[in-house]
Amino acid sequence: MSQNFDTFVLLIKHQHMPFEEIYHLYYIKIYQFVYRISFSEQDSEDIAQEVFLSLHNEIKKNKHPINTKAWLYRCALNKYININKKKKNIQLTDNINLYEKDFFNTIETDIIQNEQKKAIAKALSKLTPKEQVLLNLYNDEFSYKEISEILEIKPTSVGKTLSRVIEKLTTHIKSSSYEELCKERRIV
Amino acid sequence: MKNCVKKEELFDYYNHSLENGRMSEIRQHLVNCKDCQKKLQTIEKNISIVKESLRNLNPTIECIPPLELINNKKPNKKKIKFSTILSWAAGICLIVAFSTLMRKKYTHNQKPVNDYEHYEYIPDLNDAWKQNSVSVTVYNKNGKPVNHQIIGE
Repeated sequence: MSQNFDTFVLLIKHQHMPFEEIYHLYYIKIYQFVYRISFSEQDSEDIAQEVFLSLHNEIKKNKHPINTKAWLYRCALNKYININKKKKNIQLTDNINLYEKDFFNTIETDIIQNEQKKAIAKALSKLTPKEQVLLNLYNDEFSYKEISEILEIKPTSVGKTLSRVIEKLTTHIKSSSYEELCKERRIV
Repeated sequence: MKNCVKKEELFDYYNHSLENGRMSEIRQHLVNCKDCQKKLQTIEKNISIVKESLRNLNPTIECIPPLELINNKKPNKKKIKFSTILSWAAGICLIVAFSTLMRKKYTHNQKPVNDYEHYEYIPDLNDAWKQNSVSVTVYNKNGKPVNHQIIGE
C-alpha cells in the first residue's frame, strides 16, 4: 500500500469505518443516484468523486458526519444542484445514450433496453426535480426520517408525497410504451 | 366502507413506518376488508414497477476508480467569469486612455492659465473672415503682448 493510502485510513468516530471501506461501499450507489437524476455519465462520475473528496476533507478536519450515508447523498444532491444551475435548458431524455452497448447482448436487446430507458426517463421527466430525488432516495432504502433530513421537509409529509408520486409515475409509465416492451421481455 | 384505511396510510403500513398500535389495527382490519387488501396489492405492484424501472435506469460500472485518483484530485477553485475579466480590462483601459489624453493636453512646459488676463478680439469678425484671416493677440498681466497669432491664412 502506498504512502497516499495511509492518509485514507482515517476512522470515523460514530461508525468506526475507514474511509476506504465507505468509498467502496457507497461509490456505486452515489454514482447511480446522480445518474438517475442527471442522466449524464460524466456529471455523475465528477460529482461522485467530488463527494468523496469533500468527505475525505471533512474527516481530515475531524468533522465526522453522524450519518455518513445521508451526508453523502445530501452532498451529492447539493453538488448536482450547483452544476444544474449552469445548465438550465438541458432536457432529461436528451442525455440518454441510445447506443449504449453491452458485449453479451444482441443488437435487438440493446435497442429494446435503450427504448425502455428512454420511456422511463420520459415518465420521470414529468415529475418535479424534488419528486424525482424523493423517489430515488426511497429506492435507495432510506427511512422517512433520513429522507426528510436530506430534502429538508417534514417527516410526516414524506409518506403522503411518496405515495402520490409513485402513483403518478406508474400511470405515466403505463401510458408510455414501456409496459408493452416489458411484457415482451417478461419483466413485469 | 367508512372504517377503510386511506391509501397514504396503507403506503406507510407497507413501509412499516407507523406506530405499533396503528400497525396492529390496520393488520386486523386487512384480515376482513377485501377493498383494503386490493388497495395494498396495487400499492405493492406500483412500488415494484417503480423500483424495477429505476433499477433498469442504473448504468453499468465496470470498475470503481482507484482511491489515489481522488487523493490527487484538487478541489475546484472558484472560476472567475469572462464578463468580469472583460469589465476589469475595460475599466483599466479607460483609466490609461484618460490619463494619456490629459498628459498631452497639459504638459509641464505649459504656462498657467491665470497669466492671460484679457484677449484682444477684432471687432468686425465677419470682415476678417472675408479676408480669411483672424489675428489673436494675447497680453500679459503687465500689459505686454505674449503671443500674436494669425489664424486662417
